[in-house]
Amino acid sequence: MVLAISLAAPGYINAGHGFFNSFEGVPWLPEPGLMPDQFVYFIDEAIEKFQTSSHVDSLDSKKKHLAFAEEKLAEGVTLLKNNNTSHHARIEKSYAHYLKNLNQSFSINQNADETNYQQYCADRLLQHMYILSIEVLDSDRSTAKHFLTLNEIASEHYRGLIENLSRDFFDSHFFKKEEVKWSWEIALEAD
Amino acid sequence: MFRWSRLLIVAILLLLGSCTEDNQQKITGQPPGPYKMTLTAPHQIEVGKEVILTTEIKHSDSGMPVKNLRTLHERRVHNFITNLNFTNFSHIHHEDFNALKDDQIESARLSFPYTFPTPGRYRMVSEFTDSKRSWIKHFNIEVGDGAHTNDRHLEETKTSVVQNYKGALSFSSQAPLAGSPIEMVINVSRDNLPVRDLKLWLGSEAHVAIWRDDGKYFGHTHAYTPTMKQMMEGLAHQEKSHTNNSKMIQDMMVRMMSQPSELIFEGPTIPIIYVFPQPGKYVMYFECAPNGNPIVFQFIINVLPSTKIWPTHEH
Repeated sequence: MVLAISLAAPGYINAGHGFFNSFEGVPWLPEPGLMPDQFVYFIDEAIEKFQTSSHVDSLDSKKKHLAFAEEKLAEGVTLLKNNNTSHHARIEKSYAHYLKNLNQSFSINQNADETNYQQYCADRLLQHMYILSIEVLDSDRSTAKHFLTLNEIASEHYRGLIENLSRDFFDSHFFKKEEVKWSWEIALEAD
Repeated sequence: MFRWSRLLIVAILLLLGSCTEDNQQKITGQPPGPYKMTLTAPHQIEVGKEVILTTEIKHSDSGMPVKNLRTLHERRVHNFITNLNFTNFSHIHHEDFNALKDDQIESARLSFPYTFPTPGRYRMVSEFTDSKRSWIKHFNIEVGDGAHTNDRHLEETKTSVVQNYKGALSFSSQAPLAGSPIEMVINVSRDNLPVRDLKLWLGSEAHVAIWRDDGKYFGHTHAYTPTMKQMMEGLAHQEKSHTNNSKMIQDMMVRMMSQPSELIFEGPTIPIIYVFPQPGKYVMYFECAPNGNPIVFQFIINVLPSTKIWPTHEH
């Protein structure tokens, strides 16, 4: 939806120009750093794995998992924007791995800081989906299915994250989810 | 001798040329995406001295200019400038100063003069429409010669006085909650008498620019017309029945936006509706035009978290 309810421009829909705009100014993806097509990438991967090898109990560890997930997403988007699809399975697997661990680290009996962070992660995954819906427009049409796969991974873990959060919080995401959905619809209609 | 003097002249000209270039900075608008928008401005912007700000929009992939941007509310690119202390604000456009020429439409290169009134950090948000949607890019601009702290403490403010006008803001519910639509009404009076001569200004009775106090979550909205209300009721139904059909809403919006601009609210009240995306303090600039003369009211709004248990902070 979205958002954009404006009063002019016949026949045009205007995201951002309206009563709702959830994502202006949100942090975009980080710099991707080393890429899977670089020889030393496996060292980077090993270090990340080592850094997240312990349990995801602490808040610091949760933050590390989200940071690495974002780095994987940034790598995936950079490759796809360069029309390079040869590493997509590896990227998708790593992105899903970090999000799955992050998701499983939250529990019902957690403290306020952790619930707070769970909310932040849910917000951030919606932002990932929105970012993907924008970046896909700057990429070759043939890569769209890989963007959609990344979006599905984010979406699946978003659902897991928001499941145990309060009803109020869940309801407050209604417009954001609609904005993401609308942004994807319009992205796939483009051309 | 002749050769040396000629070389000297050429060197001076080159130096002058590079000075002109060097005096300008090109800032790339954020976020990235399929359009690259740049802002060209002087490196050193002095307080109180008029500068020319030039924006340029290109397709990110091809580097080609975006031709024929859509006109929305009578302008091709809407620019909103505020300092991050939120003590000043402008809603400004190329066409406010000069008619658009064909080459400017073709190159999507537009300019306007601006005088920054105070030193500090500024944010400019530019909005344009191409293809099927509007796009927003923001730019950070430093004004003055040193490091400035933007440390104004913002207090909730529901009344605003400009010249002999007063704007009073009220909410449909007790307080705005993040993620929930809230209806707001602005009551405009002049010399303590209700204003009843509001005119359309750039195609609407009201232009509303909203930022959270950290400069994020910019939004731009307008008066809440009966057509919008009808659409919101459709949305409420959709939420209740859990039948999220954004396509249906798109169609409704297209129908609504196909209608020509029409003056609906002559005063003294103008309703608006907005969904604040996150909790925090928001600054709302409300621009309306009693008797056709634009004025801007400023309100500070405290938006509470959706959940009463924990606020969502950014990490």
